[in-house]
Amino acid sequence: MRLLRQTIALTLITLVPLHAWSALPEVVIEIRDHLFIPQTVRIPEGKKVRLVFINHDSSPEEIDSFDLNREKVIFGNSKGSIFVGPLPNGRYKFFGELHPNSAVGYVIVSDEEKTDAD
Amino acid sequence: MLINTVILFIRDTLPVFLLFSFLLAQQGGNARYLLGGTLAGFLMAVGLYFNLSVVSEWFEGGGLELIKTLVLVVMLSGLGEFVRRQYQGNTSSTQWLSALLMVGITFINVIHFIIYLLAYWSASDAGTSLILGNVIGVGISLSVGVLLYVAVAAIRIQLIKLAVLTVFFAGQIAGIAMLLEQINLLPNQNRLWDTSGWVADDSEYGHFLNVLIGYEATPTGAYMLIYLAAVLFPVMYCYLYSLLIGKRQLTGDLK
Repeated sequence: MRLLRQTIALTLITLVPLHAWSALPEVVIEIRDHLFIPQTVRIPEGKKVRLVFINHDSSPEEIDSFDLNREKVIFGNSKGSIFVGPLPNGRYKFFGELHPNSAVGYVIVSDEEKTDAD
Repeated sequence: MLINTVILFIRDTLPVFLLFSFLLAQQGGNARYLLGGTLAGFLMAVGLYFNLSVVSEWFEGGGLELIKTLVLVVMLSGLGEFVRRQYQGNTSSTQWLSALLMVGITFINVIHFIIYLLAYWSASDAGTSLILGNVIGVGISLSVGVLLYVAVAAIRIQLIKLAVLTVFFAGQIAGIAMLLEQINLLPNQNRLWDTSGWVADDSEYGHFLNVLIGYEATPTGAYMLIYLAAVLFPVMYCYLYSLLIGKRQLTGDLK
């Protein structure tokens, strides 16, 4: 019981840095008809970026990426975020696990100045 | 939809089948307790599903990740106590602990399959594919579970059986790193190595090894750190328990 109390306290303490989210660059990806729009997004090399998924479909989608080691459920008509990076240059695939044939997207990490993250 | 149902069923329920097998193969393993734990975990997952849209909005969208993290930490504590009692030969009192471990693993894994199942049940052409996919998925998961049960039950040395269970658990616990990195509570780190050329994460072997031992082709430092800590945790737990509780009991006896 004491261990459980300590665990809960530790978890709550770790929540303190949550306010820092707003300072990070952000990329919005929409889900319509089980497709990612845009299908490819560019983010800067070596920076942490918040990917915001807005699901306009009525059914849920589960974002999965083996390349990025991420997995997140986005309910129908709602949105959710995934933090990625800092990443080296490369092309990272993600897909909708519930519609793996249609919902496929890519995160391109490059050192170009102009990216989709703002 | 049929193939996708089979893949998702195996991905989300194989850890449940494997833990069931590993716990049943331990000394004093009791299927009734394990089934009870699985059922309780399933019912909790269904309860969470109906509140998931609210829960997932908690903590700026990190609610589900934090709940899963908390469950995994509680399970790790339960594993420490389970291993201690098993090692001391006190197997009759480990049954409720094994049920607790089944509750946890079912709860955090099956929730994803319930989302898929209930969301697509209403689709006009989905019924047959979903039922058939589930039947095939149960068949495959059950076969793997039985094979591993036979393999682990054949091990004569109790310590090795517990080591197999601990390594399996470490793979589950290490997932905490990804959960916390995903919601920005852990800083993202460089990948330590890349073995995707040998066994890719998205291959059949990659999936199986991920469930069995927590294999990751590109693990981060945090992932490996939590993995190793989870492997060592039962040993440290037993040591500290004997050091603290054992000393207290001894002092009590002297008084």
